[in-house]
Amino acid sequence: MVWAITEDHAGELWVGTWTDLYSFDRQAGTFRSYQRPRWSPAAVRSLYGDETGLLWVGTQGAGLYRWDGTRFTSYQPQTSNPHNAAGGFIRSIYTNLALDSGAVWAGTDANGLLRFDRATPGGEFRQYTEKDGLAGNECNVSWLTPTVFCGWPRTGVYPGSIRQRRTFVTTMRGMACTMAKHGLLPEQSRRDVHGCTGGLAAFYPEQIKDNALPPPIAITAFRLLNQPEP
Amino acid sequence: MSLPSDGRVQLSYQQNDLSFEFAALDYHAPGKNQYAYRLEA
Repeated sequence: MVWAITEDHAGELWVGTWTDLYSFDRQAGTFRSYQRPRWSPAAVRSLYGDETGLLWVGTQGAGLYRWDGTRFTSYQPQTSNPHNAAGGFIRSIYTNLALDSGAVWAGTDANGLLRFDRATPGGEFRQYTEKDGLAGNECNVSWLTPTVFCGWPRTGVYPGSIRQRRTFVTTMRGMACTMAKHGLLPEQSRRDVHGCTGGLAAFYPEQIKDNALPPPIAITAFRLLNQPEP
Repeated sequence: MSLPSDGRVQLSYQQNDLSFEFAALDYHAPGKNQYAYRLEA
């Protein structure tokens, strides 16, 4: 089963499956496997080729890998959920050198959002979960705007901005569905499409606004010694 | 006694039982309105 497909910066096509990672030789029309010994088998759930030529591989249960064209480097997040080692599975990855010091953002299935600081020697993960204000620990990172979407089936999907590193919670109305996969439309559409258990949901991430003004509070009744005052 | 516009009320020591009702005027997602209040000495 194919979970992830991406084209890296050099135009190489990569395919991630349950057991293996492949690159596709367009001329020969054949796949080249990156299985052992260089690649220990783990389901490849997400791929992202950044502008420096690195390929970032998100796995199921084996953390994050970096492929530099010669070898894989493994990075293991320490997450708050001991029953879901190595970040559970990484649903999506986004990184951009011009953004947030080139941090690699990874959305997981149950461990919230991971921020990997590639500038720190050896790399360093920071985890964001519901405790940090996420609406859920099931997160996707969209590379369109880029935007972070976290939610939980019954509460819908809540977008936030990597660019501003601000709170990841804004109220989003009308999306009471669980997200399955996003980014189904080409980039030109500028629209994020989430495939849901209940159908499709589409919106323009940059048009989602925070309500920065707290709503006014009105005192509607005042009682002294249990007697209403005007 | 009516509630003045500046929100300040001076009470005597006998008026030691009082209550308020309040509402946030936001109808976008009223179920998500949250309130916080604090009693200061």
